[in-house]
Amino acid sequence: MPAVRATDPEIWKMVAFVKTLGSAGLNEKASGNPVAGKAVYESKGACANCHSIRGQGGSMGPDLTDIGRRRGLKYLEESLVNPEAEVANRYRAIRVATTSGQTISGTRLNEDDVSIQLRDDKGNLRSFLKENVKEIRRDKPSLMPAYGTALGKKEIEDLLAYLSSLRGVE
Amino acid sequence: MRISRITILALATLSLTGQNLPVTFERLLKADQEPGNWLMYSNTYNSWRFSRLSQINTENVKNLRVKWMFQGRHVEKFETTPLVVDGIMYLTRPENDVFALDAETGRALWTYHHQNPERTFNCCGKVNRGLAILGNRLFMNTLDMHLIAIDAKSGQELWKTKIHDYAVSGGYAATGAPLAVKDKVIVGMAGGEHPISGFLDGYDAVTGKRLWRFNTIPQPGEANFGTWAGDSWKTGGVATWNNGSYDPETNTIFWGTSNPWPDYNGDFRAGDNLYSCSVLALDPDTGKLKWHFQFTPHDLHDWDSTQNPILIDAPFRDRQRKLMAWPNRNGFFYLLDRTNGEFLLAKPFVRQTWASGFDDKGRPLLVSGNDPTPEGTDKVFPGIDGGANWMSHSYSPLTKLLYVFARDEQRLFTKNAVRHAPGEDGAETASIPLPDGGRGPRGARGGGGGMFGPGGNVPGGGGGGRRTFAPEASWGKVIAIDPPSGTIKWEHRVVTPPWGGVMATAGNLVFGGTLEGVVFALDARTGQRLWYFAGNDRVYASPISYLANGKQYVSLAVGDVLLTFGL
Repeated sequence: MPAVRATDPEIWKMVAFVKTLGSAGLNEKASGNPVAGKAVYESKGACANCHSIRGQGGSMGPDLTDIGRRRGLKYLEESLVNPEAEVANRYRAIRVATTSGQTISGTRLNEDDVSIQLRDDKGNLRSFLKENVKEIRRDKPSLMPAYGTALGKKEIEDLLAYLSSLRGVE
Repeated sequence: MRISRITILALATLSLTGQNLPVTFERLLKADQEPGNWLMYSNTYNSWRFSRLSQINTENVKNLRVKWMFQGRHVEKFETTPLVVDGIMYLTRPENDVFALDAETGRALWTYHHQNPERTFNCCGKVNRGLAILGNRLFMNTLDMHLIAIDAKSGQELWKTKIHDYAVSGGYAATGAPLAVKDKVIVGMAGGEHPISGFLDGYDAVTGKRLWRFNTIPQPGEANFGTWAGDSWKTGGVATWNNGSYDPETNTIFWGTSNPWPDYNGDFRAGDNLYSCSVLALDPDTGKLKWHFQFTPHDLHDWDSTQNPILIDAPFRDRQRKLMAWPNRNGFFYLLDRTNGEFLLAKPFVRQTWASGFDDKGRPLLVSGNDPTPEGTDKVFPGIDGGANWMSHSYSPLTKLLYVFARDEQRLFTKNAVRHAPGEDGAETASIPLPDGGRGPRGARGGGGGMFGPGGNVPGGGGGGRRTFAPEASWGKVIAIDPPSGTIKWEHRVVTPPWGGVMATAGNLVFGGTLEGVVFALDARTGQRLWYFAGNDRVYASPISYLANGKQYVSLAVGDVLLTFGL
């Protein structure tokens, strides 16, 4: 990142702006039941397969330990219902087909013109030279399922309430 | 052991005592006849950035390896093009340090340090792109707007001339390499993201005295005054922040100009806004304008025309012409007659949406719906950083192809509120409502209206545009253009839009480096990649090649390191 020429007041304006990113509705109170939402998270949603809270869970998706402090209800709801709407580069899903016949799905960690690195769907770190890659598919940028149909309205409200309650390690 | 030490010492001595100074203007004119040296930013006055060395070629490039590294130990973008004179390499390191190195080993011979003020006013990093040499003097532009002459043998400062106040009108800086022509040093300046007034200067190489200044915005009484609404010409930007070319046959320097200010909001500056986004043809003796050609009238997208002018003599429509080839930031490849600026052709070399064609004079026929908007639009191509930027293109007289490391990129263009300079009544006005009710920072910095966020500027006046990078939406590509037809002969695609330039060689290779740090050599005839090195840091520079002790080397800055490769 290049150095930014700015005065102290300008820098604090930037900080304030960055803190607002994705935080619309941050202080809104969720209507659902966070206890019931925790159950959805751990069972039907199977969220912990890919996400972690306080070190418990998978690493395929973003850590959610303090997600309620960083993201508002509107952003969280869209992430559940339409996860492809905004995917950070480090969590973009790809599928690599090698010349030897393997197909590996995962999230793209890094890439240049001669190689590509990913975390496969078992959490393993993998790297491939492109000369050994037949195809890289990027047409489904998120590995996360869209929960708009998999979960009921009440379950989504409860899950949102639970996620919103995650404020990190105090 | 003793013998090998003596041998090494002897070779080093040969290398270091063989330097043939001064570098006269006559040597610069015939720089192509000194293929072992790199005597100016683009190697030769025609800006081909072509090396006539062929020791490293398509057959043996697979054996290329790192021979030495120069550790820059800085955090800025490393945009330098080194010079090489008879085994001595001269390079700049950010902010404004100069090093003389043994070009065979990378060992430092002397260093020069220029201390800039803590705060300087450069839009895009505290960078420097290189030096010029004439006689025994090296010349460097500085961020605080000085031109400095340094003795090439000792590293001692010979003179320092103030180009302009650096901290006025939002800020001036000088980041490009100067160009030495005859007995003068031609110097450009940066600051087009601020309400400055641009110029190009000519200085006496011996004394440092300024001999002429060409205002890139016509002043009252000058030709072409009146292409800016109201007083907007006073703060119209139009910098000259890259390097130019020189045609000795017509005694003309060619230099590109930047965007008008505010970059993305043209509400207050109706008109063509000359000479923004143009090429200027100037007499180097007087600074008088011979002709100009404007690529993008009334630019709203920050599509600077600060690329290096490529001078080619070639047949065009059955007639031998003196041509100027120009892959422009606006996404079109242009061909002009460099004797008079006549428009010959323009063809897109990246995705573009803004022009449906050109009239006979080369004026673009605009497509509506391509202006930046307050809510932002990502439907405009090319992106904010353009199809080409400042990075060097390269022309090979062997393949007769022009190599361009192009950016095919999707970005978001936004138009924001901007304070116009106070009028005579002292009242400030805004073209669209100011987001903070007028209480934000003054327009003297980046156009006012605050920075970042809705209504802010990132950077540049009156708007900006965030990156929307995804591999399927944006990429880079080295392309080979046949200049007389504008046809793309081959394309080598890379993952990310680049910030590095390319260099073609007589070994039929095209060298360059990607934003991920992949240094590559392509077959100049086909675009096939024949060799690479994973440098793993950003490349913001263009390669050079030279001889040291009779062996060919290729140097390119990767991250904060200058890598030098050899067989």
